[in-house]
Amino acid sequence: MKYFILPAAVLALLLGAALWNASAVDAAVAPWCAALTEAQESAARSDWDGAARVVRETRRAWDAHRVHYHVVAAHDELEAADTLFAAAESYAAERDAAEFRACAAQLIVRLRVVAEMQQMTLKNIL
Amino acid sequence: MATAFMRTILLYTILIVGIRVMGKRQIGELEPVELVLMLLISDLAAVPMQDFGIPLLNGAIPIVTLLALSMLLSYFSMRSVRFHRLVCGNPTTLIRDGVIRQDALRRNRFTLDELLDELRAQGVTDLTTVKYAVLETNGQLSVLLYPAEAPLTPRQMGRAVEDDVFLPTVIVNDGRVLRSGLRDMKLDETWLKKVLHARGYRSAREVLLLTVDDAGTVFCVGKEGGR
Repeated sequence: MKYFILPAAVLALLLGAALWNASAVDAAVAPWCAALTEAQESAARSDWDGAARVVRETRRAWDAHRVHYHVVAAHDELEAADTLFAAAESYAAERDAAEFRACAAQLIVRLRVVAEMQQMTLKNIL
Repeated sequence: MATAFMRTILLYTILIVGIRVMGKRQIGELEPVELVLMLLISDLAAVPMQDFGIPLLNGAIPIVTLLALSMLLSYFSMRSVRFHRLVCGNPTTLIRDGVIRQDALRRNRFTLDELLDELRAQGVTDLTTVKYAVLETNGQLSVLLYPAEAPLTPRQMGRAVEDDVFLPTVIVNDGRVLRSGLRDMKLDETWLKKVLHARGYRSAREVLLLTVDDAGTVFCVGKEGGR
């Protein structure tokens, strides 16, 4: 029976870990995307301090999950998000509305891609 | 992570079905399940090793998944003959009572040249001497000759033969005493010392190989320049 239980347990463990990872990444990314949307709205209202603060806090939260994402996601995607975070902070500091809006939009898409790549969807599998 | 896991299961299944559909002659010496495992694992290990942009987990998860799936398939194959046949296929008789079964050759995509090659590799050049040729599930051909063509055995000659074939157990391997071997043969270090001294060795370190079989026959080879 152990020849059944051991591999079945390994498969169940991997499946469980994969599902937990997908849900953890999704749960973390959703509020960051909402925060970045809020930063875009702040910038539209010319509240540059608010926009810069939101981007900074979101980046801090992103950095706190860095090791986890480095282990599970393609490093190219993470580096692209890092670059966009740095650019968004810089545009917010310079108060460049057009560039900031475009950069924040790209960042939201990039973060969603990172989260979406972890989901167990038919689209991803195929 | 989830994608790697599910893709591995999907690709493993596709490859096993593919190998089964291709027929036994494509297999070589491995069962379909083992062949697919070997094909996939070697590549999976290489990719994250070379590309540092891919997380190691993306290589490790498919490998662990494959090993677990392979163990599960082995388990179900042991439990159910029907499942084993489904995954590994059945042995196919290509020659029965000296007659080549052409439909079986076609079904397994086994050409006549390949059959003759395999027979020659087993020392058979005359097809009329073959009673049965069976294509095993691992792709190997088992050949059974007509009794008149097979080597004569003592039993066929009505001779009684003494059973003097014993499996030797290694006691000393390159100067190291294998205590498990001593235990298996119900011997001890005192016996070993006696045997070594009788052959002029001071210790096991001077011996390259020492074996003993169930009849108590000792085979001993010293190391070059060891004494």
